Order: sequence, then C-alpha cells, then structure tokens
Amino acid sequence: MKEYLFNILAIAFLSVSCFEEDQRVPPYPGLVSTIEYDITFYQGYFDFETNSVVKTHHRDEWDLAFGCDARSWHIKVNSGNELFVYRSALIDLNEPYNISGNEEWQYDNPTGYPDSSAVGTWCDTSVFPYLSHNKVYILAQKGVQGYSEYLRFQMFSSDSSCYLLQYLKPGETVLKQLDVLKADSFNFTYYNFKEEEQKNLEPLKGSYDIVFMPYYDLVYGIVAFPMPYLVRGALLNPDGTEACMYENLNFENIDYEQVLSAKFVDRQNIIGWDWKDVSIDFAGGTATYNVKTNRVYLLKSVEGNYFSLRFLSYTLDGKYGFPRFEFRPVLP
Amino acid sequence: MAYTIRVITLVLYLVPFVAAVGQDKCYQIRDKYSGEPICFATLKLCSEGKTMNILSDKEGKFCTDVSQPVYLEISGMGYKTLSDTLTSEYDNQIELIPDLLDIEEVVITGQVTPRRCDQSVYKVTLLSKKDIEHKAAVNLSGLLMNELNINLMQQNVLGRTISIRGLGGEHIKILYNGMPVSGRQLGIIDLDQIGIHHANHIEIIEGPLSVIYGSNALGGAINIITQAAAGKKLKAEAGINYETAGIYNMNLNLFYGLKKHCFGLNMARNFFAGFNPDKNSRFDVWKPKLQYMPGVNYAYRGNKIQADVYVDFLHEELRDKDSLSRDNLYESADDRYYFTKRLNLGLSIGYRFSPVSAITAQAGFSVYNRAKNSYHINLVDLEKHLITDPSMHDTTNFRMISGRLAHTFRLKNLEIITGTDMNYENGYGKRLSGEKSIGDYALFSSFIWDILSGLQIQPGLRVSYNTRYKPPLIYSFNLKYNLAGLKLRASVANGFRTPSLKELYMEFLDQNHRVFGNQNLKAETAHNYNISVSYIHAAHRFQYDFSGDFFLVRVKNKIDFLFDYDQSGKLKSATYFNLPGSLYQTKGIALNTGISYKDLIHVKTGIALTAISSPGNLEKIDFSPDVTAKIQYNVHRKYLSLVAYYKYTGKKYFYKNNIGDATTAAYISKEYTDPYHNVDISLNGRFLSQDLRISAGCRNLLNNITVFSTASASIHGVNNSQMPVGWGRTFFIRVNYILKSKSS
Repeated sequence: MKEYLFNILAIAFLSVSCFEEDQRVPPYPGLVSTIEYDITFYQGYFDFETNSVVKTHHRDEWDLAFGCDARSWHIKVNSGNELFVYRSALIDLNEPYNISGNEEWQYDNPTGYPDSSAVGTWCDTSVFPYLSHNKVYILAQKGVQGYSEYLRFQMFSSDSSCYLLQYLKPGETVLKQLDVLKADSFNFTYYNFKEEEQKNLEPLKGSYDIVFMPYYDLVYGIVAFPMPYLVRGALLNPDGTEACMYENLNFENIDYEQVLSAKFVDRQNIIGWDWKDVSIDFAGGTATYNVKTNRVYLLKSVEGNYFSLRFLSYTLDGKYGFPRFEFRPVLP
Repeated sequence: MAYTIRVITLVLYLVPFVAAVGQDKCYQIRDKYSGEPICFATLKLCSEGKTMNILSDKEGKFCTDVSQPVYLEISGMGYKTLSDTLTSEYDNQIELIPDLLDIEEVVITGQVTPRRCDQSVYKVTLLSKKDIEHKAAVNLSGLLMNELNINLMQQNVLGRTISIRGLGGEHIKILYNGMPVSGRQLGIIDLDQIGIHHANHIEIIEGPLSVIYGSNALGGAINIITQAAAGKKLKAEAGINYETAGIYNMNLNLFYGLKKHCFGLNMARNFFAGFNPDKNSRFDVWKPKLQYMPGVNYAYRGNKIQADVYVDFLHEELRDKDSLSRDNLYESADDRYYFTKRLNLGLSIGYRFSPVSAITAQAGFSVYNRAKNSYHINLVDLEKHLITDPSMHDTTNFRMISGRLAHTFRLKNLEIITGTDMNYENGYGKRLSGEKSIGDYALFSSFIWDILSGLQIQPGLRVSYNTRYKPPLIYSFNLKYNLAGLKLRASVANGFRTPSLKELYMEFLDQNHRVFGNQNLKAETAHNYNISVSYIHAAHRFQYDFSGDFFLVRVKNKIDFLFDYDQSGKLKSATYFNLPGSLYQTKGIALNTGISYKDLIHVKTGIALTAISSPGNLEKIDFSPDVTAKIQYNVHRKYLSLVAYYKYTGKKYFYKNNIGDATTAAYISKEYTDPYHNVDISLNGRFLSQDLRISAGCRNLLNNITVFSTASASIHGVNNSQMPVGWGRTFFIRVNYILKSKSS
C-alpha cells in the first residue's frame, strides 16, 4: 500500500510540475499601426485616414529635393543619407577646392522652413523668377573617414516650371547643366545625381500626413555639447498637416474640447524623433531606445481631420527602427 | 507484482548481513548516552594474526569467541571509533560515544590518501547526507545557502554563483568525484545545475589547492562525492520534495551489489515554477526551469583493484519570459528559452601494489552545451514561432578532458604522492567567435611527513605547461600540529589561474548583456596564507569545539570587468581586463564554536569578517561580516529532530572599474549590497524503522525577496536597484522512502 501511495504521489507531482501554459489575452483595443520598414533606411509616408503607409522608398534614392510649388525656391539635402552642404566662397565650379576639414557642413533644419535649409536662401527671393547669387555649393557625404566630396553645384534660377543648375562630379572636368521640372501635384521633386535622374518619390501631396525617415538634428545629451546626429523620426507633410504635443495627457480621455484649445503648429519636426529616449554606445555602435509613452500628440491631417497619437514602441522582432503607434480620430 | 512495485518505487536500504562467528560470548553495542542499541556497527576483530570483519545485528548484538584476547575496533555511523582489547572479563555492554562533530568522517579532497577529517592538514568542511536531509537540498546552492564564508548570488539566467572568502566563482574549483566540472558562463558554474540527490557527502576546502587541482583552485574547492554501492543487496531510495514557491523535485536512486561489483542508477527531476514579487507580471525574476538528471555508475571493490565508472547527465530547460507592456501592446512577447546539457563521464581505477604502495588513474570527460532560442508568441491566438533574427539565438559548447595519474607511497611516517594532471578544454560557439582551446599539463608531488608526534607537514610542488600561458612553479606548504585537543594548521601557497576561454574570446551580446572577451589578458597569480587553530574538548556529556581561522590572499593581475555606461547612466558593456598595476587582496577571520549535550542538542555558531581591498590601494579595505548559527534539537536521537539555521549576511562591499567619459577619467566606484538575515527551520522525522524520512519546515522565515544594492552605479550617480536574494517565505516537505529487499 505504501508503494502504491508513493506512486500516486509521484504521478500527482509530475502532473502539476510543468511549465505554466500561456493564457489568451484580448487584443489591444486601440487602432495601432507599425511601420514595417526600418526607418533608418527607408522613408515611409503614412496616411491617418486610410491607416496605411501609402508609399515607401529607400533613403538613398535621392540627393537633393526641390520644392514644387510654382513660387518655391526651397532645396533640401538628404542628410538621412549622410549628405551635407558646404556653402563655399567659390563662384566658379571649376575652381580647385580640396576639403580641408574646417568646413562648416550644413544640413537642413528639420523644422522644414526654407530659410533654415542647408542650401539656404540661394537666390534673390524678392524678384520672380528667382535668380541665383551664383554661390558654389560643395555636396559631401559623411563616412567613417570623414567628409568626401560627392559633387559641387551652382544654382542659376527657379521659375514657375523648373530649377536650372549646373554641377560637377569629382574627377570630371565637364560641367553638366540640369533642368529640374516642378511637378505641381507633389510637395517636392527629387534628383539622384548618381543615376542622373529626376524622381517623384513622394506620394501626391494631399495623400499622406507624416513621413517617417532618417535625418540629421541637433541632439543634446549625447556628449557634453549639442551634437548633430542622425535621428529617425516623423516629419509633417508641409502641405497642411499640423500638430501639437502634450506630456502626460491622458490619451484615453482626449476629446474634441482638447482640439479646440490646442495650438497647432506646422513645424515639420513637431513630432520628430524625441518620442523616444536613446542611449548610445559609440564603442559598440549600438543604441538602446525607450519610447516615451506618456507623450501625446494632436494632429490635424492634410484633409483637415483631427487625430490623437502616441507612440508605443520602436521595436519589431527585437530590432530597432520600426515605430509602432496608436491613434484615434477625434471627432466633434 | 508487489515486489516489482517495491523495486520501481524504490526504497531499499542496505541491510548488511551478519557474519556468523563463534557463539561463546555475546555483546551489545549501545549509545553511551541514550542507551539505545547501535545496529549494523562494523567490527574488526584481530586474534592470533587473523582478522575478521563482522556487523552487529539489528539489536546491536554480536557474539565472538574470547578464549584469547581479541583486538577490537568498532565503528558505527555517527559514532567515534572505539579500539580496545576484548577479553572474557569485558562487560557485555559496549558503549560508543556519538561523534558530534563529524571528525571521524573520511575526506579525500586534496589528500594524499583518504583520511579522517580531523587528521587532514587542510581544514575541511564536510556536509553529510544528514545535512542534505535537514536542508532538504536538491542542488549545491540549496546546500551551501547558510554556510559561513560562502555567499551565493543570483545572476538572472546564468543561475547562482558562489564566492568564498571574497573570491568569486571563477576561483573555486567544482569537482565531481575529484574531477573538474566544465561549463562556466561569465566565469561561474550555476550551482543550481549541480545535483546532489545521489551525493554521499560534499567536501569544501577554503584555501588554495592549486598544487593538486591546478587552475581555478585559488580560492578553494568543492568536491561532490557520490554514493558508492556496497553489499550483496538491492537498495532503493525514492524521494519527493515540494516547496510552496512552486518547487517539485523527485529523485530515485537504485543500487545493486553483487559480490565485488556494485551497480547504481539514479534519476532526478527538478521543477521550479519561477518567481516574481509582482504576481501579475509574466516576467520572472527567478526563472522557471525544469531539470532532468539521470546517471549510472559502476564500482568494483577488489582486494587490490578498486574501480569506479560513472556517467551523469543534466538536461535543463529555463524559460526567460518577456513581460507584457505597451511596447508589445500587452498581446505578444519575445521569450527566450535556454537549454543546457551537461555530461560528466568519469573513470577511476586504483591498484594497490602492496599495503604501502598504490596507483590511481582517473579520467574525466565533461561536456557542456547551452543553447538559447528566442520565440515570438502572439498571446491573442497563442501562435508561437521562432524569431528569424539569428542574433536572438546562440549556442555555446565546452568539452573538457581531464586525466590524472597518481602514485602514493607510504614509508613509516611519510606518505608521498606523485602524479601527472592534464586538463584540455575546448569551446566553440558564436559567442566564442569560432573554436578555441586551452590545455594545461602538469606534474605534481606532495608528501605528508609526521616529523614528530603530532607534527605533520605537507609540502607540495606543481610544474605545469600551459598551451597559452607560462605558469609559474606552484608550491604549497601546510603544517599541522596537534597538542592535546588543540590543532594548529598553517599554510602558505601560491596559485595560478589562466583566463577561461570565455574571458579570452567571448562576445556576449543580447538585450541584457554586452560582454566582451579580451585576448590580451594575463594569467592571475596569487599568494595565500592561512592560519587556523581548533580545539575540541569532550567532558562528560558535553562536547565543545572552537576554531579560529585567519586568511590573506593576494592576487596579481586579477581578471575583472571594466564597465562602460551610456549617457543615461545605464550599463552599456563590460570587458574583461587585468586590474592594472596592483594587487587585489582579500583577508579575514572566521570564528566557529560548537557545543553539544549528549546527542540531544547541538549548537554551532560562526562569525566571519571578510575584507576586500580597493583595486590599487591595499590599505583601503572594507569588512563584511557574516554570522551563522545552527541549532539542532534531537527530540529523539534517531527518529525526530528539529533544526534551525540562521545566517546574517552582512553589508557586502565590492568595487567596480568604470570607463570615464569626456568629463571624467576612468574611475573605481565602491558599491555595496545591504545586509539581511535568513532563518530556515526544519522538523525531521524517521519512521517505519527509519525507512520513511520526512523533513518539513519553513525556508526564508523572514521573507527576504530583495535587498538594496548600488550595483548599477553610474557615472552620473547611483541608480538605486534591488538585488534578488530569495523568493520569500516558503514551506517545504520532503519525503524519502527506503525499501529493503527481502533476499540477502
């Protein structure tokens, strides 16, 4: 009998001493989207109304972007692909110039304001068509060894239909003239100098609200002084998307009253990259991110609808670079 | 059928058989204090040049012819050996004195030949099968929990590590029947993976044993001695253990003796459900795990040849479950599963050429394999898949081949051991960046010389060749002097530790760790000085003992971590390095006292002060106290005892070496862990002729879960953190059942 008792006890032991099985949980109640392309390398254009990424392209698809508005003279540099501009004192593209290391390399201020761009106000904006000051801009790519010249260019003009410029690639002696045609249905048109091709990479300007992409910004706290750093974040569609930010606002309780009292701004980096903390390991070449889930945004879409937004994570399958966010329409 | 069930259930105790001897006069052997008969005591009777070995019967009786004086030696488990001459006038009631201090137990670790604990030139702490029973311990960490000068630390998925006298796990040799155990993660062997369900006893030597055991024995050695089968009997023992923390352990040991051959089979299954103070969290601070530990052994006990072969295996599955957070929408998790396999295979053959000369050959093969697999589980539909990112998985393998050949020779008052020792370790895996190996080959010699009555010395020397480093000449000098009940021990020794393969080559990158090996590491060398004095006095029904120890260890080129932090103060990475330009020093004293009244009450107390020096400044030291106490009250000497263990783990200081940043130079930070008290109690009963053994009690009576620690101090100050020390107050019950076969 004792042996039977022992056997029963042993079997009972075996049956209860197993790993606990997981129980089903209800799905997360909010409307959640994940950018499934690593925004270190891809630009993803997101539209809130359709809850979809309407277009994606690789960051190295373009070098310079040109504003498409008939009156635009705005030029952007792809700092997300480590491209920077030096406003040289040269006036002739053929004039010899070697990078000394003392250049003040510029990147676009992510606010998106044209006068804060790397190229800056390259023309006399008081007279249309706009004519250039004829400055020579050195476009360089930042690498492990430092900056190396990518090409140099000189703007001529911008009118209602196109930009006119010339450029010279390193090792070449023949100047190339370039017409960049404005495309009215887009915010910007893009040019890839490697492929020598103009591209309309963006979706139509009214079809998206924010773009997730890599870009440079001034970051505080990495070292003792503010440091330009390649960040990954979200920029507003300059065609009318606006947003405002709140700390510690109860996401669940946001209603239209909140919208009415909100101060929306069109600064393109109002969302930016700062919805996450980053700890950078220079030696190891890695970074650790923590999403600030207490940071809440109100957003007015390009179509004029209001949404509340908060970020939930920056990780997908254990890898960083994939923002996940929750949003809700805020209705009157 | 009933017998089959008995065999399967297993619980059979060795019933030695009684040899028939002359019936002229019968005697009874009894406990001096309780008067209870002592069954199955071993008797050695010598008369007219003939020797006879017999056992007392169940009533403690034996009979012999005493027409001539007979030399008598009686030894019983738990009693002091009695030597006397038996004559016809001898009283037929023979009394044995209980051995209250285990000094009669034979130890082998570091010895030239097996000898009694009190006769060893080393101070050996012996933890017996009874200690295992009282603590209801199933692994080494459970057994060592409340020992003086021994500290255990939980290291997340790496398990529990040990430090002895301020020296970490990398300086402690873990031996399995005298052969080293392989498979260290971050320099440590997880003591939870070292099962003791089939251990006969455990021997602990605090202090250097580098002459005998080579590298990793700077701080001491822990030797697990497994049970050897004996007798022409089937013996079976089954045990189950339950603890309210979600611990379910089962074990089964089988022994069968056939003349000079003994066969053993053992099996253990240990399960721990995991623990987190936050009951709602899916994440466990103490990881759930399931272990299987099967093993077989064979022993041959001939007149001249003794041989042992054993194979022990461990399979452990440990689950590191992800917490649910907004990050994963409370609906999915990335879980990490760790699968560890250990195989220890050993062979030991001893051949006795003559009563004074013997040779022992030992060979060991140890395999360690640890694989990490990461799974993504969707908790909404419970769909689980292996994460495709290769960086989320890895496997590490170690193999160690060990060999030892030793010749012992005895000359009147001199015992000499000379031998060779070889260890070859090979490791491969992603974290080691390929396949790496290191070998150590040595010649060693040591002798024990009884110079004068009571004075023993044991010098030792080891000459070795290492495939990567140039080891120094390793020496040791031990001295023991007996003066009445006073024993004085002193030792001077040096030691040597080559960096492990992991310390040299590791790349350990995951979400929680970034640890890098360093191929430029130098080997550690150390000098170790010990003095100890012990005194035992037995008077009437009382027995007192006292011991005091002083030690000093100086380690040169100590291998340590160099920590690096990010700007938020979080630990970013750690790299192995040699502490630059200085010695690392630990020193301390330990005082132990014990008092026993009859075999009714045993009280043992200990206090230890251990100091570690700041790297680069030997004058800057901090003492950490430890206090232990054990009170055992035998309600009935054989059948019922109440045992309480107490340990005060004092404030522990340690130093961290940190990389500076743009504004601070590299610096050393002093860290500490707060003190805490621990109390365990158990009630141990033996029933059904001692075949049924039940221990029940409470562990961690004071409900310790975490203590404050500054271990994560950063360049910007201190990040307060909690270090896990236990899973709170739990209750346990352990039942062991022994069945005896009817045939003999």
